[in-house]
This record gives sequence, C-alpha cells and structure tokens, in this order.
Amino acid sequence: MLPMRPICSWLALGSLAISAQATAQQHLSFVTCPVAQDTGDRSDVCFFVVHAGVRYGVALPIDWGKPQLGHKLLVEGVVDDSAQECGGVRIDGRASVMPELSLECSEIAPATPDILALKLGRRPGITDEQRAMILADPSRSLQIMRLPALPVPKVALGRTETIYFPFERDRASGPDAMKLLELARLAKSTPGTTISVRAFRGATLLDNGEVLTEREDMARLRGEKIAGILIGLGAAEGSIKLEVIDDVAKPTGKADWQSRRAELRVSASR
Amino acid sequence: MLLVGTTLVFGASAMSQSGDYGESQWWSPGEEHVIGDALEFPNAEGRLRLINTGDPINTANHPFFAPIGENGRACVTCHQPTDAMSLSAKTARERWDATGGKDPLFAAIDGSNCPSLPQGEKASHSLLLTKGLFRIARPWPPKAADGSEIEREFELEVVSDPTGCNLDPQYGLTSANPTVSVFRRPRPVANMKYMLSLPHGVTPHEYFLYNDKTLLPKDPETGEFVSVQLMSDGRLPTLRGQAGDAGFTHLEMLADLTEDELLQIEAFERAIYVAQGYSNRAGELGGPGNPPGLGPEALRDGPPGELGNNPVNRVFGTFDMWLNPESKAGAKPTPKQEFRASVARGANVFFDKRFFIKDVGVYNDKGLGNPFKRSCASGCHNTVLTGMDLAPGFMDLGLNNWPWNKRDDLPLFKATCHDDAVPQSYLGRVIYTHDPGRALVTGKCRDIGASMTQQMRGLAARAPYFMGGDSDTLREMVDFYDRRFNIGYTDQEKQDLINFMSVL
Repeated sequence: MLPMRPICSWLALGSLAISAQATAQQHLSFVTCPVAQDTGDRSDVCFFVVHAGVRYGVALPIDWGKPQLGHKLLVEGVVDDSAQECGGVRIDGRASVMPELSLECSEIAPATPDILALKLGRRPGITDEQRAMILADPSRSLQIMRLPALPVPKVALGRTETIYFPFERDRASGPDAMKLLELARLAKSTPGTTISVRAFRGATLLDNGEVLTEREDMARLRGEKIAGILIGLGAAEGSIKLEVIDDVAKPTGKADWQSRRAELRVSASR
Repeated sequence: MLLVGTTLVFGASAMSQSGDYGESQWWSPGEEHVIGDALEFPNAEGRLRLINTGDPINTANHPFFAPIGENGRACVTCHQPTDAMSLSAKTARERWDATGGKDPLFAAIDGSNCPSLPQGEKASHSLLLTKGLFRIARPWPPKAADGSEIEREFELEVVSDPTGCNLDPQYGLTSANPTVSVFRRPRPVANMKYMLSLPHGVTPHEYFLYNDKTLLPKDPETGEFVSVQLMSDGRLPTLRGQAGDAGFTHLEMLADLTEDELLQIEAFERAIYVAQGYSNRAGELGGPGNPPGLGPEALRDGPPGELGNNPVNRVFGTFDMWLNPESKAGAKPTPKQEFRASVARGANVFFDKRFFIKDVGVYNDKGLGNPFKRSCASGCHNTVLTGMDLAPGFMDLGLNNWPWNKRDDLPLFKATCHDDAVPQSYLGRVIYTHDPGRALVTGKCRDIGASMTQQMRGLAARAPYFMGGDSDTLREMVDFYDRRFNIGYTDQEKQDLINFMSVL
C-alpha cells in the first residue's frame, strides 16, 4: 500500500480554492448531492461533490452513468493526487445515482473564468482540412465521420469476466455490454459450452458508519437480465447456469462497489 | 394538376401562401393515381416532393390505397402523400367540410374521440379536427404480442376524461376488455430506410437499447434484431407487423392481410422518400449549389443509421453556401438571399447552440447525466438526414407528463407506481400523464410518458407537431423547447430555426 499523505485540494485557482485537505490514497465512501459544473458555451457540464470541505470529482468508466441532479450520489473510491477531475481532487472509483428523488440536489455552478481555464468537456471542432474539403465539394459534408470504435474486449474459455454495477442498478455499461456480446459469440462458436453466471448484490460501509445494502432482489434481477441477454444473443438456453447469491458480503469501506457484480465464465465441456 | 418535367404537381392551380392551394389534394381509397418517379404537392411553404425508387405504381388496386377494411378506409386515408405521408389537421378539417363528416377518415373506431359518441357531430371528432389525433386503444394491463399479460409496475386512475372514452362502460378501463385510450398523430410512412436501419458505428447499440442496455427487439419472422424507430412507443418494430396491426385496429379488417398484400405494402413503403422540394422563399431546394441534405433525393441517396452530431456532418450537412450571399458591391441582398441566409443561420442554431437538457425521463438517466449540455443536433436529433435519436432509446421530453405540459383536451391519468418499482427518475412514483407512452408496452414505471423521437422531414406539410399534436405551428414547437429547457432563443434565432425546419 502506498503511504498516505495529505495533499492540498487540487484547485488553487481563484474563487475555486478550497483550503481543506484531502489525503492521497484515502478510501472515501459517502452520500451527498452532486453539483453540475457549467464549463462554457461550447462544452458540456461536469459534476463534482463537496465532502468535508473538499471539492472532489469522480473519474468514471465510459457509459457507467453520470451523476444526476434530483438524486443523491453514492461516492466510493480512492483519492488520487495525480490528476484533477471537474476542478476538484480526483477520486478513482465509482459513483452511483441513488434511485429515489432528492429534489434538494439542484445546484448548477456557473462557468467562472477559473473553470473556463481548465478547458473541460471540449469537443474537437472542424479542422481546416475538413473545412476546405467541404468548401470545395459541399456533398462531402454528408460523407460519414464515424466515432472511433470501442475496443472489442478479449474473452477466453475458462476465464472469469466481471461486470460491476451502480448501486441498485442492473444496467451494464456499453463496454460491459460488448463483453456480453463477445461471451455469447464465444459460447456459440464453441460446441458444448456452459456459461456460468454468478450474480451478487452488494453493501457499502459509509465513512459515517452507516451501511447501505441493496434491495433483496437485486442479485436475481442482475442475473436474470444477463441470462436473458446472453440467450437473446444466441447462447443456448440450456447452457446457462445461473447462480443468484443473495447473501451480502460484509462491507469494509474499501472498494465496496466491487460487491455489486456479476461473474461470467464460458467453459468447454469436459 | 401541373406537369413539371417528370414530376406531377397536384392541386397547384391556385397555389398561394394563404393556405388555399386550389383543387383538393386528397387521395381517396380506391382512387386511381399513378406514382411515377416523382410527385409534388403544394403547401404553405412551397412544395413537398415525393419520389418513388420502385416501379411505377397504379394506386387503383394497390393494397396501400385500396379500401380493404370494413370501414372504407385504406392506409392512404391516414397517410396522405400531400401531407408527407402523414395527415395534417388542416387536411382533416377540409375533409370534414367536403363530406359533412361522412368520409371514412372519421370512422368511429379511432377517428372520433370515442366510438360511443354521436358520430354525426363535429364535437365527437374534435381531437382529429383540431390536432390530427387518432384514438389508440391499448389493453390494460399491457399485453405482449402473444396476448400474455405483462406484469405492470403501476396502477392507472382516470383523473379527467374529456373524450369520455376511458370511463366508457364499453371502451374504458373498467369495461369487459379494459382499455386505455390515448390520442396520437400518425407518423410519416416515408424515408423508411432511416427508420428501419440499425445504428452503425455506435457499437453495441445495434444490439442494445441505449436506455437500460436491454436487447433490441427481434423481427419475429427473421429473428434478426430490429430498430425501434418506427412507432412512437416501439410496440411494432417491422413494417409487416405494423401493417397487419393497422389492418385490424384502424381499417377494421376481419381477416389478415394476405402475404401478397403485405409484400406490396412493404415494397411501396420502402420505396418512398419525401422532403420539401421547393420553397416559396428559397426556391428550388435540391440540386447543385444548394445544401446537399435538402430534397428527397438526398434521402434516397444518403446513408441510413449514421450518427451526424459531428462538426463535418452536422446532421443535415452544410448550409454554408447560403450563409453569406454574394452580391454586387453595395447591393442589398434579395429576399431570396435573405431567406436562405436565415435558413443557414437556423441550421447553425440547430447544431451549435447548446443548452441544459434537464429532467428528461429515460434520457438524462441513461448514463448521460442530469443535466447535460448539448444542442438540438448533438442531443436528441442526431441521425444523419432525418434527425431522430440514433442510439435507440425512448424519452419523456415532458410532452406527455405534467408539469411540463398540461392539456385540457386530452385524458389525464394518475399513475401510481408500486413501492418496489424503479421510480421515474424525475417524477418519482406518482405521475400525472396524458399518455403513458412506452409504459403501455413495457408496464415499467420508469417508462411512463416516454416515446421515440420522430424524423424531421416534410415538416411544412404535416402540422401539428409532436406525438400529441401539441404545437400547431413550427413557432409553437420552438417556443415549447425554449420554455421547457429555458434556452433563451432570441426572436431572430427562433425565426431562423423555423425557416430552417420549413425547408426540410
């Protein structure tokens, strides 16, 4: 384990400066309102939270699910002093939108000069070359510019793939959905395989000592949804062995988000 | 009727901008017309152009145009070529006036507010005459295609029932066959390759719905995954399925469409492209020197299922050639040049002006965050050349649910979601809705009020707009968005957007 050391909040920028300290490598687990940060006329918003006087941003995997005003946010992760996120100290981990409404979570922070200087959420504009191309031939503006494809995940027989979920959600992210696609393809292309699906529900120990436990049917919902997707993608119904694990592992306050998961393995017949 | 090159122009003998286009452009079931390569139909903004990429069609005995149901209707009754293969409220009113309400269009089953009302009275058809709305009767609780009951996550209670149909002892929620009556606009049956293509380049969404990462539906006949862009609630994802269902529910057929009829209908629907072809103020819309995305030919030749929210494609391609009109030194731009410049500015507002998109159920909560900040084009209207939301997903913009939209003419339901249901993300578990939308298909609380975005072509020909006919004009549509999302469009920006949409 890396040594823990106090660091100043990432921001030392004018009005955003926060004097409280965050501790590098510290595990955090708390529930609070997210704040939407406007980042300028030509860019998207980002989200931050303020906890114990420190502004944090949570780095999330692609398509995991961004914070939402109108709902509290469960933040679980490790403080990272090597980068900033949304003008705050970065937390590596997960953030989960709590399902029930919390109308008090409604703040949109305006884009100040300090935030604009961070150049957050900017999307690439048209290049001079593209502009010249369209000027010369306007029909080229309808030649399709596709986004770079997400990498295709590599899956293998006998290897366990793990999909993690936000709190009380059964929605897999786009990259995890691609994992399901590849697992189904692997099962279809290998005669006599079985697909083991082990679905869990989780619990989280918050910094204030409270324990948040997912609803009782969460493991079943996740497992049945994944099994249904695999069958819909062509896996034989009889090849799927679904195990629903309703027992909740005791949370520790460190990486408890990993308790909300499903484990999948395609195995060849013996 | 005028002949322009190989393009027939209907009803143009007294064309004006007043809304009086002379002779009737109505196509009655069984009437003979020939659809060759192209037809044009005048409207208040110019002319809609319809092109046919298939063989010439004689409508006399074609199943799309023949009165094959018991009520005298054909598919064409509610999908009129002059109205961009939809039906405008203006056309419905004209038809009432021409026939004294006797046209099959006003069939009791869905062309009236409720079949139990006195059918000879205009008031009994008020929703069709004022908003172009047809009654859509859905089973309650929801049922799957095989007739099995879908487990519902919410209860429905009728709060107000101005049409009388939801409390009607024969047709309502407490009838022997409990039914919910909602009222919706017919969608254009044209440009179908864009509705039916799975999205490209946004893997894994050629298999998964964006919202909750469940799988897309499959074509029951081929077993292949299909798009859900066809209908507002996605309940029937194929042309054959939709045609078969419409035969029973709208045409009151007593038997299934035959295989040959289904093949002819589908072939016709796949061959037809519509868009505004001529603007009274901008002139000819297609061809060299004009924006490459205008006119139905662009749709015929364009790539379906592609994401256009990038700075090159800009969804409908470039309009820059109209932005700064060239004129002789010191000369004032002509009205035509000024209008074209306005259209080009509107295209820029559509693509560039960002605003906070907030509290849109089944949308902000599908991973994007609440709020997120996008423009019309980079948010919900991103499919190249048609402007639907490409990655398939439903959303509650606020058109069906309180508090964003309140209608006195539509039924109002109180939906109370079960305690163990995932609540609607921004309205919770008690929702007042004029149309539960997608939730009448899935039974899910979180889907209440959600619907699928529509294509944006042929708009000048088919007011009113939105699924419930909320906006009578493009101005009202822009004003709705401005209010809903607190965008702050200037009057000039609004007019530019209107002009832009009028040439699509």
